[in-house]
Amino acid sequence: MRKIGHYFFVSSHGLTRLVPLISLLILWQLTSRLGVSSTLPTPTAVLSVMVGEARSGALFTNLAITFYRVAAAFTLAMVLGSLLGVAMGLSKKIDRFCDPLLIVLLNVPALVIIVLAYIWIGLNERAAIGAVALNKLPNTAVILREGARTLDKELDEMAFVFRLAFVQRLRHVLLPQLMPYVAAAMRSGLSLVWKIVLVVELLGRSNGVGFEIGVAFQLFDVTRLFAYAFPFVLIMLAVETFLMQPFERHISRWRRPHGA
Amino acid sequence: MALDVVITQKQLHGVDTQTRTILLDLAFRLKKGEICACLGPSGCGKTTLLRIIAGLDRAFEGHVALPSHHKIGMVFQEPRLLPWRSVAQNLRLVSTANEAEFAEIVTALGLSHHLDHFPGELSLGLARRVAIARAFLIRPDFLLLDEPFVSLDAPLAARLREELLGLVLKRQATTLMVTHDIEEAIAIADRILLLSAAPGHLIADLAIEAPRGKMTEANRQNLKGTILSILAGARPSA
Repeated sequence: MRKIGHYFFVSSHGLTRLVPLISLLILWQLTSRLGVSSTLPTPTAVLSVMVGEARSGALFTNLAITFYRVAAAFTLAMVLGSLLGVAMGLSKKIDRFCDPLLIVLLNVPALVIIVLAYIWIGLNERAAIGAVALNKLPNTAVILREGARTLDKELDEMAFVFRLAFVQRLRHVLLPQLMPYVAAAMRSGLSLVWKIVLVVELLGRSNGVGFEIGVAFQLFDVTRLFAYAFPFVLIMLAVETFLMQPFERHISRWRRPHGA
Repeated sequence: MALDVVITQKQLHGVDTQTRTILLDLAFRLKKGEICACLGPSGCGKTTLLRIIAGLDRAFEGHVALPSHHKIGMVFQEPRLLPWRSVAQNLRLVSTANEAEFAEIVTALGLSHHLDHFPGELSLGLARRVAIARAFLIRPDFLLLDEPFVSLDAPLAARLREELLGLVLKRQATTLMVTHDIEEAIAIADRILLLSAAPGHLIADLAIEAPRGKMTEANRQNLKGTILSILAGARPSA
């Protein structure tokens, strides 16, 4: 972790990432002070609500429950979507069979899946997480199918001649080729999943960031909305910076720094 | 008997649904420990022959008999290393050699200083050497070499040939090397199989009588002349 911290805070690269965010914050403070709109609270007002919610513990409980739902739905969608995608990429038969279903699933609005899940499965955690996973799954499958289609036949032959065991083949030959596609699916997936989780919470859960934002909407309380939205954006930003990016650097460490 | 190959016919199906016969009535046997070079013009099915023996291509008429327990070390025309694994990891993945043998083979091929590199950081010559080292590290009974020195400069190719020969003799692996370079074939083999242009079939099976290392320049020129005249005679008159 030390190395990653160094990367983010000390290197010029990390600083350049922070500059636009800080400028946005300053701009927000200035415009809200001008009193342009009564529905735009000042950053300090948001911060004080945030502190209040944090003191009562409600902020952390809601953030934690939302984070749990994001993590569960994301993992489910990644694992099942990857398996389906790879199977479709490797077998023409499976591809022909599943492709129409995949296209349907890709085009059904998220809201339809969510409402159906709540009606059919019930207003519970399983329906919520399942609905979110089902929204992300086809996207993962499509990306991984592309990855499986581009698998290097020559390396496969090498593995055959040298009689690599299945586990070795998986670990050293297949997975490294799929990793860039997994990373791409993860990157687009995480943001998608957390946005949908909030909708799911708004519609059928009684806790979580999405639920709190729903409450804020009913009260027309923009300050409260921001107080819940920002910390969660920060968490996702941290996940991106401290988990996703190091992961991507790790899987592409063998590429030449220039070109290739 | 180490290897028995009988291919009555091998056809390749092109993208344009055209079928062409690439190997026709090709049969030969290799004795254990024999080093054989298979020589023929480009496109005569030499690589296909190796792929059939390696079990990578099963769509042919005929049969290939290998001893029931055997290990094949193959050097493909391209190095075919795993780009995301270091040289050492590439080698260790297949290696069944002990530490001493590992070090010996790595040193013989001049790879000691490159073990931590990724294949993308290597020149083609180095990558080829890694591929050769890998083929030896599984302690093969059979060694299949597909033009392992093509497009390398002559002095390097000559040096690698020497190293390869040393390792083959030590390991006593039955070796089949495919090449279109007559001098390379003469330099390595006990026996040379000459293939015709496609559809490839055997036009000559030459044993090299002079013991290895005792061959004079005159012997060599002589043999080369023989091979060239056979190849010229086999060329379709059209």
